[in-house]
Amino acid sequence: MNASAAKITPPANALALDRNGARVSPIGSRAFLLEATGEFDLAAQRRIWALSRAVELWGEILEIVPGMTNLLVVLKVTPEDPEALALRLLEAWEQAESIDLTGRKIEIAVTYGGVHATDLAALCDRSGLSDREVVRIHHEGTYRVFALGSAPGFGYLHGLDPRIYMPRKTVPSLNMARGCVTIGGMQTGVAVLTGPNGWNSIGFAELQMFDPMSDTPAVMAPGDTVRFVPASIEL
Amino acid sequence: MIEIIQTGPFNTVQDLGRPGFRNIGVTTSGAMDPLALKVGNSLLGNETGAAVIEIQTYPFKLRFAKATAFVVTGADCGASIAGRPVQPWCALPAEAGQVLELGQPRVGTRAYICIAGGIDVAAVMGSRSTSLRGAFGGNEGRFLFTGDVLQFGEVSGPLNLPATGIAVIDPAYALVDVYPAPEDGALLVRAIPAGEHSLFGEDAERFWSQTWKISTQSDRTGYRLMGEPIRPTTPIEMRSHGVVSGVVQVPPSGEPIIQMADANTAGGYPKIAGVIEADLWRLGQARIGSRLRFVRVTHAQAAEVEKAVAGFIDDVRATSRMVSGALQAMK
Amino acid sequence: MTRLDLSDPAIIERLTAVLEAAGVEGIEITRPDQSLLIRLSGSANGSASQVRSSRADNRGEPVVVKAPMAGEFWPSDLSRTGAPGASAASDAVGFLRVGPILLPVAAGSSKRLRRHLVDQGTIVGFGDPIAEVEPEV
Repeated sequence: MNASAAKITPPANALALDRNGARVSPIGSRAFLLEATGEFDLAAQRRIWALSRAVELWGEILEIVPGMTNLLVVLKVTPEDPEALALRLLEAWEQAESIDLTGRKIEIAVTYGGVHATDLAALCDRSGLSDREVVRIHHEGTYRVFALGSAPGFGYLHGLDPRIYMPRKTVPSLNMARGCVTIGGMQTGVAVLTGPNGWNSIGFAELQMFDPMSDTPAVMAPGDTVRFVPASIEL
Repeated sequence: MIEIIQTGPFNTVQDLGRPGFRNIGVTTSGAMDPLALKVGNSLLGNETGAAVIEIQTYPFKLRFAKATAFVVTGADCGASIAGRPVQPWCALPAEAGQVLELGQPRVGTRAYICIAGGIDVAAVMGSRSTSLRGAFGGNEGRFLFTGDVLQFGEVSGPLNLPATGIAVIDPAYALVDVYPAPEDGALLVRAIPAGEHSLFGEDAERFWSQTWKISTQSDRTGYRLMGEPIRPTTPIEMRSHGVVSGVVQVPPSGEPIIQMADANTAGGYPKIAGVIEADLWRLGQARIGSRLRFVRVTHAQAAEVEKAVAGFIDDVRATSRMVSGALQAMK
Repeated sequence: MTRLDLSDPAIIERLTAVLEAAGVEGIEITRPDQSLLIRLSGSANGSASQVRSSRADNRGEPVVVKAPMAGEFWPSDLSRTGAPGASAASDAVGFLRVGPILLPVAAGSSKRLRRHLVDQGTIVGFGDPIAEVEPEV
């Protein structure tokens, strides 16, 4: 056993490589995050999907986690040479052709308004739109699942109309119900767990988004197209 | 079979967690002190990642309904079996009807009760870990209640334990070359600068130099630290990205949060550093109110610690077999 | 045949000399009335022999605990002495350390240690006496 690890020799610089529209930085000893540094759009996300497909075949990978125009890779063991790994990731990014995932089409029946729409009034105040207009704009949209994360089966949906963007709440709702249809910034989604939630609720959907006993536990997958269908509007 | 006779809240069945599902939002979960779990299982001849009971609230009592072997690793909580004190980290035979009792921890905070064959609950998505947040896995997706009954599995090659048992020396003693001792009472936690480190300007140096206190708002999800706040030089809006346990995020309050085993799978707060994998178990044993300091290391240094720990666990498995064999031969 | 008095210093001296000449590390003689244990510890300062002899008396003969296997003798769990209030099993008279493993050595039925027969850190072999415990009452 060598004692050198106990000695403290700070590295000269933090490892963070920035090249050709992407940047790689470590999270701890085994995880590396590649972030696309350009626009937050579908084109960037398509390249992330392509990168994910290439990287998940690498032998040293424990798991990959596609995020919003970024990809986290978790390795089985800590690499001795993190820079080599970062460079390989950047090379894979450069070679990643844009792919479109041929996802499923998912229709989600929503009760707009009602007791669960706790933040609809605040959204009207901010946007200057009536509640009917907010609901119409939301259900007329076509959304793409960019990534899953945060809670089991939760899909981050891209494609929200900028007129109904609504920043996350500074004080989260303490006990928002599973099934609430929510807006968080420029994203929308359906709450999968009952609990604290900083997103803004405008309606409710019965659809269960996650079943741990299923072979495919999450209903949504990246690339899926989602439409919200009003089952009822209670305003 | 074992029966829980007395338990507080938040004591759960855990294994090494549920990797591979962060991409659908599923937290890894798993033991907060994976070293204690691995050593306990290795000592009993179990698979390294067999399911165990993680105890965080005390006192805790269980009754063995049938004869088996067990070891309590992790925190030293003055355990006793049938009223007799149990050496810390000592694998012992248990007879049917005997009661194992754990008191308040004297050293560390989380104890692991490992049983020959492992706790046999149904695997969900490849793991027996309890996901409290998702309410699945472990024992019905919840923490243990008094009266719960748990089964344990069969061991392929059971270890012949003498009546006084076979113990493991303290890993902190065995691995003293790769785990620095606390300085002025502060646990030294090795970490690597993360993506937004440079955005903290001069505050970044204060992150490394100051001593942080683990606040009462700390649990399996994460540890909130108390100290002189640190902030990025300009506010940043991050796109949500995957995170792993050990990530040190800095929310607007300026007091860092270390995400732990039950952490969210995604985050958006700027991250200043990431604790190395091999130091997470020490955090898992750190007490609320105790102090820690971050020490900057390289990946090569982290890899070296990781190898030493893996070597120790292999050594425990091989040597305990050898000792058990020698005792049998010399009977 | 006349019984030797095992506590006679002359007898002990003669036996010690024989053991030294034979290169033997120790001998243990047990009789119902007396027992004798001689260990040559080969220490650096030249005083090579350590002699313990005890006569059966009204306290009863001590029971000698022997090493169940080879290992490094630890009188207590030295790896945890730095830990405040570390717990320990009461019925072990010591430990044999083998790499990362610590084998508790049982005190037997009386559970009362009289004294250790070897120093901390000594490498002992199978069957080497390591402690004396009180006989069962």
